[in-house]
Amino acid sequence: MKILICESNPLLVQLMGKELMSEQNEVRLAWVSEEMASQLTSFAPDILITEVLLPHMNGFEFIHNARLQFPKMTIVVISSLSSNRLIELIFRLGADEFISKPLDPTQLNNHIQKAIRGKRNSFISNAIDYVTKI
Amino acid sequence: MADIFFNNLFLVIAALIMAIYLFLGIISMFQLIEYKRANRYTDFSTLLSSPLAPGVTVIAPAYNESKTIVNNIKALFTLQYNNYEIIVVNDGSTDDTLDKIIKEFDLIETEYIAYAALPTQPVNGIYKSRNQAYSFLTVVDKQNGGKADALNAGINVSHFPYFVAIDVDCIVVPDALQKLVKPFLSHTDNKTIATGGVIRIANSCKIDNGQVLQVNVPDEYIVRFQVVEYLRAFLMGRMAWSKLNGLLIISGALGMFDKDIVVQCGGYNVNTVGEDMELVVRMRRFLYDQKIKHRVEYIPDPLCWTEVPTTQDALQRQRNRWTRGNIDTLKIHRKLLFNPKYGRLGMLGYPFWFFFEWLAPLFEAGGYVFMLFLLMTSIINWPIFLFLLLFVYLFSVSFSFYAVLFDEFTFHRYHRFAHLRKLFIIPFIEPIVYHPLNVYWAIRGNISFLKGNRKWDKLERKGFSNASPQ
Amino acid sequence: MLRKYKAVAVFLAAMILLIAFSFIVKSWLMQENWFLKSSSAFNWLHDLGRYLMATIEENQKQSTLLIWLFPVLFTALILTVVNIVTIALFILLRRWGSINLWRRKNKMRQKAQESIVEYLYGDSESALQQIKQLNKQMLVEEIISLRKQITGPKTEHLQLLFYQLGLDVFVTHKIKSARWFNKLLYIDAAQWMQVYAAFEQIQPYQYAENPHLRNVAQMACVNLDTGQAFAFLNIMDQSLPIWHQILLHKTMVRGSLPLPDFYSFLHSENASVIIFALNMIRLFSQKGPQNEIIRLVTHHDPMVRRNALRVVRDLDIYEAIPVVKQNFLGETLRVQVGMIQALSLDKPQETFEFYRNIWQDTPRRLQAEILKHVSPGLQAMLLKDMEPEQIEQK
Repeated sequence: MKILICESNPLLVQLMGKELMSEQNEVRLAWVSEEMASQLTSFAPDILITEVLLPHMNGFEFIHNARLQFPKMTIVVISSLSSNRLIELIFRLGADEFISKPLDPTQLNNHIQKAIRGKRNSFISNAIDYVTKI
Repeated sequence: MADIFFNNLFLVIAALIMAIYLFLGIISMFQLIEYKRANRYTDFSTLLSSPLAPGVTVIAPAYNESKTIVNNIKALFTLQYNNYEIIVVNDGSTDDTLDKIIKEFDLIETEYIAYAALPTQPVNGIYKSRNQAYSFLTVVDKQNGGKADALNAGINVSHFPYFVAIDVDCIVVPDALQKLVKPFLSHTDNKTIATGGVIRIANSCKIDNGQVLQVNVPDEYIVRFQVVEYLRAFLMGRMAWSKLNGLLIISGALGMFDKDIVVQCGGYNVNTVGEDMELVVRMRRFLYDQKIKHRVEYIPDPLCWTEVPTTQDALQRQRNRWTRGNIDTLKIHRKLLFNPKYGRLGMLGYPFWFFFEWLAPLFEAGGYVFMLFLLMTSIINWPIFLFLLLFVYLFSVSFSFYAVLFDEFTFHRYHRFAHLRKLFIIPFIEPIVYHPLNVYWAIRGNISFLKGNRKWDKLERKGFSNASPQ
Repeated sequence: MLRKYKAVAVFLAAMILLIAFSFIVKSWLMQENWFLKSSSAFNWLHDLGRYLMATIEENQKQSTLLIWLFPVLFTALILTVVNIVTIALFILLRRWGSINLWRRKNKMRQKAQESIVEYLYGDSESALQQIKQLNKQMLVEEIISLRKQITGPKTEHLQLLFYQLGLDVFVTHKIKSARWFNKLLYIDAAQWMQVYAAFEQIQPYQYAENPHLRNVAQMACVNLDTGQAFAFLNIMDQSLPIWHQILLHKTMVRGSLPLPDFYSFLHSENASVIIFALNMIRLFSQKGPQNEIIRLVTHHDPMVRRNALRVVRDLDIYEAIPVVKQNFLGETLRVQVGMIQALSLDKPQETFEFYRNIWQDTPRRLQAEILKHVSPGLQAMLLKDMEPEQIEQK
């Protein structure tokens, strides 16, 4: 599994990186805004973990573009946002899971598993929908 | 005898002007330092999650912008604020601006009550989106009445206690609302009635999806002059006046206002081209009349990036309009001049504007004519004349250098060596080339004001761009 | 006093210095030969000055102003040139230097970050040894910035690191000695890391002149003081702006702190404290004597009245409605808007009757506000009831 973590606080990025590092995961980190966009295209991760309140960059645009570029990617947003309107917007733009900050890094793996399961389920149900339509 | 008197007069006035500018520069410096220190550990995003944060309405007038309008509105969606609504006012565009918005955001006409607090041109319809995702977007379609009229229509339909007036073609940074609203929340004994953000120049910057990705210093000299001019005006002039609480203007490109007071004062004035300045002066006058303590503040952060004219012709029209707007406002509120009843506004802000923004160019032109007269009658003493000229020249150069230095220390937006190389030449050329042109345009503005031209220029109606510095 | 007028002080000092300098320059120009003959680098300047002075004296016999002013102008000219050169050099050097400095600082920061992560996830002992050599202010900044973003078991780990490094002592010491803008950082750090020992140091700052400092100290005390956390509300005579209220509210929510009885602050002399108490009562839905709230609907400060009305609406205090109706017409507009919202508690029919009775006496702007804020059903009823000429087009 290829994971890309984008967040403007370098310490938090590294922490999450350590948390997710394991044999089956390949983790990359980005905490400078230019790097985030370039890493996204070159690395093509299976899972994108990102903040949306980024300095010098529009995080909403970023997840939107990521979703357009990689329809199958799992997008997990971690953010200190707590406005329902904006969280809704995030989901509409294509996020699969939202974790509010402050977050418990030890729970990160569970959240991601949940997001992947959710994604797969919705994929299966979509497939069933598709089949039944036929 | 007369020439000696004039000589002395010019000397005294010149010395006084320099001393005042120096003083303003010092105040700005302290103000910038204070701002940086106080906000170093401030977490503005707290506002995003707090139920106590007030609602803000964003009002964006649009006129014949069909090419860019959809992208511009989308850029507004990404403003980071919790409780806000966007009102786009289509000011009777003659192209397909409205159709494009309706199609893109799936709008339908909604019922509304034409029961407006501020009088405006008739409203044709109010549109809302069928898509829940755009529930915070309202589009007002009205008959053409100019920018001030469009803003008034926007105020009429707004719901929140504060509103932000923006030029739809400006690039507003994502956290602008948080920064602008904070002064309103930080004072209780001294009511904040309006805040403005620093305008920077977006020409030649790398822009993508409504975000400034890379800042550049433009190559064209005419734009570079304006870069230094804006730096000087905002970082040195406005900051000082913000501290002195003598501000007369919040740029039309980005400013937040207390809606209640705006409505009580009767909203934007539709009969002037300087509606942004006129409104602030009228609000302050109103509050002084009621003896309410208040303040108008500037945020030194670069919150708004705008394209400025790139041709002499366009620039001349812009300056012409600013001059007319200035005179208009000064004329309407002439009672303020040295009126102790109006406190700092009457004793400092207004007189400064009166003498430095309106009279100074005229005075300068008078000086040129006088100089010419001396040259012709050949009673001029060349060494002394050159010495005085050099002195004035170097003073203005050093002033520009200070502005660059302030940017370097605070926001550091021009961060490459190439930027510096480009910026360092400007102060030396500016007083010789750009400044006389400015004086000339200001005089042209005075003349067209006297001729009775009070309207927006047809040719530049398009951009609305009104980011006047000083 | 001096702090408030420091710009004036600096300006005056600059002017005095300029004049003093000009006297020196004048006496220098008066001398035919410069006393430092050996260094001829400035001879041309000396000659130029003398030449100009001579021409002025010759030419302007009638006017003495320029003669008087000349030394000042000449000095200012020299200073301006020096100024321009210094600023240019300074910017260049700073940029050049700052690249190196920035690199070095960045490297240190990276090292600190790596070590902290290493401490949390790997070999704690060796990481600790490495961290100990680093700059303490930077460490505090880094640890606090991380602490603000995370919860769970790792925070305890981080706190342990903070104490192992002895940063608690450092922070307590710095609260006393640092400059005010750095105090903000250290007080904040003491709060996040629960340095109870710093409480004594922080306490006086709750009433500081400087609003930023005051706010940070209040938040820290709310967090650190176990007994009388909100005692400062009783004593404080400075105002408590909304921004500070927002931060205090956030602190309470974050720490799930035990709430005081906010009704006890409703009698405060300080209007901003009453507003804060009202806001907290509303946000935490605190129950208490309702007549206290109703009393505040007629408080002399309009801001208090407005906030009291919000409480009336959000906590469903029906008993306040007669009071609201009674005072409606004499109010300021902003309060009236609050009243309109509070009246939505009442039965629609009764509200309708009320608005209909007062409609003729209400100014246009208020009518607009009523229509904007009432429920759609009521809006239709009101519109139907209105005389046709009162509605403009459409």
